[in-house]
Amino acid sequence: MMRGLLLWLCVFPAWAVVETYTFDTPEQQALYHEMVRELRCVVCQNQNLIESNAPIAQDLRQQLYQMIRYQAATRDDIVGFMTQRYGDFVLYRPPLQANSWLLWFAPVLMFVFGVGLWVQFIRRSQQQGSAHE
Amino acid sequence: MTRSAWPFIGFVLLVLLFSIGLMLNPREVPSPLLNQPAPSLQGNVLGSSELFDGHAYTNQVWLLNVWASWCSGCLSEHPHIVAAKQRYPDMTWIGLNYKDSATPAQAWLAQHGNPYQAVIEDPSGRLGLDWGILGVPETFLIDAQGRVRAKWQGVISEARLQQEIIPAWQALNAETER
Repeated sequence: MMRGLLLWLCVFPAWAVVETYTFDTPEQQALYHEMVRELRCVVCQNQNLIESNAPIAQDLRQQLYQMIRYQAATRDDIVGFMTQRYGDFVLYRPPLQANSWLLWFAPVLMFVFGVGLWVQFIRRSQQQGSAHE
Repeated sequence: MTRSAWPFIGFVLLVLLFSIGLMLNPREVPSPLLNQPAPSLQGNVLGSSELFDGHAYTNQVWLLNVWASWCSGCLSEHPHIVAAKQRYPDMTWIGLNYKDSATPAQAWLAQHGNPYQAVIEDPSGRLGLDWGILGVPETFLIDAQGRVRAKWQGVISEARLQQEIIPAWQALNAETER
């Protein structure tokens, strides 16, 4: 009984937050569910729209719903609408552009750098090895 | 330089990078509206069915202050706005009454003073969404060409008003007169 109550308390906030919206097509619904996960709540910065119960996240969810259901908005329309107002910051997946190329390519650069170091290390130890012989 | 110094230099560079990163304020998100045309303000004038006429404010520098009667930060910044308006009577302040209703908003203005040329109602927060509002209070500075030139998030303190807002407003006025 007690355990059941605790479990219920743990689960409760997860579904208390989210309104239920009905859509005309499964595609609309899929787009909505994709976008609420991909857009950041601008106030509670480490949550996406579906996780957040901030009033602004609620407003943005409603805005998403209206755009998807009544204005036949596409993914690009939505991303455009949100970034025009809140900047690239709302996107959890930052776009590839001049100020973000380092962010996108740093892993590749580091990998190339690491491989370079490794090759140099191998060569040097081979040279030392041959010098000893 | 000896070869063994390189890991140490790498470490120092990382420490520098992280300390700069940690000192940045993640809440300070630059507004994408800066230097862009200001979003429209299509809403009713507070407490009436009359639509706000934004055209009256083109060709002049003005400030948009987003506030609500339920917002405690707005109450603490309000005396500074009222005082600024008294000191600079040609400062144009427009209020955006965010997610509020007319009766408490009008009572709030009657009690605390009204420095605004006009107040626009935004009961649903839809206008606020167009302006990328994160919370109240927020203040925008709009130039004579109708572009957003500055944004201040949060409460306007006396220091912020004297050191940032009034100088920015004066600079834009000087720019307009030239």
